[in-house]
Amino acid sequence: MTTPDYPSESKAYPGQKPRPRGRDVSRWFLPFKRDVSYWGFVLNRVAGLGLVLYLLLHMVALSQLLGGEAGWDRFIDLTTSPVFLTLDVILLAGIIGHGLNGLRVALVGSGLLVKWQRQLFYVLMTIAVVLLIIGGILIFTA
Amino acid sequence: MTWTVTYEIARYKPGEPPRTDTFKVEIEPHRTVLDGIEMIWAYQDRTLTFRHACHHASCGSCAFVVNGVEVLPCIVEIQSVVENGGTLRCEPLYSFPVVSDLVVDMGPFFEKMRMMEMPIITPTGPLPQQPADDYNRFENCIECGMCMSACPVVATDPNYLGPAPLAAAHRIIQRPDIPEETKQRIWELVDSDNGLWRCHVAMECTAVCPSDVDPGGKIMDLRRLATANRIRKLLGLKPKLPVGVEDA
Amino acid sequence: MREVTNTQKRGTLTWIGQAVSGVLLLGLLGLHMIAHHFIVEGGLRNYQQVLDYVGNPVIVAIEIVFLIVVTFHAMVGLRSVILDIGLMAKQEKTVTRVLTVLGLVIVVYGIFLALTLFSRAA
Repeated sequence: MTTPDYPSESKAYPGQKPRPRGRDVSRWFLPFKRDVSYWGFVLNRVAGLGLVLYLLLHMVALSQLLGGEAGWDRFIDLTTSPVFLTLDVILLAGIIGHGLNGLRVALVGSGLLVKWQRQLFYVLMTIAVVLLIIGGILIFTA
Repeated sequence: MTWTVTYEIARYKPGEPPRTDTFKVEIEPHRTVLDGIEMIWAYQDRTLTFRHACHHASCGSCAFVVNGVEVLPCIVEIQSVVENGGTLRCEPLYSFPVVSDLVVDMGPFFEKMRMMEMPIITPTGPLPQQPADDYNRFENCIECGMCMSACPVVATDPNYLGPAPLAAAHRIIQRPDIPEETKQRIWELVDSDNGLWRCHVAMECTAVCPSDVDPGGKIMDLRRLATANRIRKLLGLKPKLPVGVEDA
Repeated sequence: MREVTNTQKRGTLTWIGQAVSGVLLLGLLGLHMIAHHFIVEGGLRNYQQVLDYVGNPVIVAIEIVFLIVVTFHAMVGLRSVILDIGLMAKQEKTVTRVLTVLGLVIVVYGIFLALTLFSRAA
């Protein structure tokens, strides 16, 4: 089965070569002037890619445990710096944002609550902000 | 009373590099964006190419992008998108090959619609077991291509069927007059990685649709059918797809 | 013309897997974050506290289940983003295979790590 490709020569305009529109990946990250659900799409995509990267880094970091107490505790000391704590908060934002918006995508994408998908976004993102504030305070004060 | 509005129009002629031309127009604020384009063509640059036909949002020919958002310029008033002295940035629809200026090649899009076997002539009268307003749903589609332009996945994946063809499929597979082999072929196209499952619920298609088709909602409805049916199969229950469609 | 990959069955099943794993992760990841960031004084667990934690076989089992679910969800999600570029059928298959292998490597390594620490704790 085939789907039409972008034509190198137009059937409707013989002899003319339309200017092809190449794959525009920037269209994944341009939520401005778009509906609120587009922001949800961008959030999920950016956070998801960030979290995949984090998963790989996390597995590498956990290998410090194989080096015993000396290796791991030295690594833990690094993670108490303000820079690391800030990164932790960013990670938390990604997890909560991707998780709660993902819940919306799981429901709406299975055909449930479709008519309320915008309201669902607002409610879940409000919960996300509250959880992030609480988590951020705990991270910095622990 | 007229406003001074600046039109920044993305220009392209085959064999030349793309460029942006700027035109100033004196126009009444209640006139439409398309009126401004026609004034530019009539009084300033006869080489400007654009599509227009009905001038009342029933043909879908004139669709292009104004200030980053897909619109039918024949029904968009100047005063609703810009202030006096403001600028309108006009570009052709995204994700379509550009033939010239604001005219895009609709061929690949119409090919995908043809694959959904949308008949030109519809039998008269409502179909059985269809609520009257739902019968009118997809007939609203004017194939303007705005949903295809707004969709972030169509922008990068030429394989993806896209919102309008999937909304067409939603209609077709429920019609009792369409042959079963046709429905089955369409369902196989639709229930695939390049059909329903390429959609990421950005819902921009529904947001820009000028005709109340709600293609996003139609895609989610098809996904509900496919998901529920798959779960029923996993649980050993009978499938519940529309008449004539079988999940292999 | 581009060849459409006929992945009809995989499409729906993959979606169900992604949605279910995502919902499971809301709970599993939440527990994981709380257990490792918000219970111990000072936030993250030091080496001895890690051993105390993974010395419990139930905990090890939960963490391994969490690892499998999160890796599945991550690889399927990454595959979905890559496929959005619009690949040919052969390229799609290659991407799926590469990500499957990557996922297996992550899971196997993670299980090795968990069991090594469990044996040290014992």
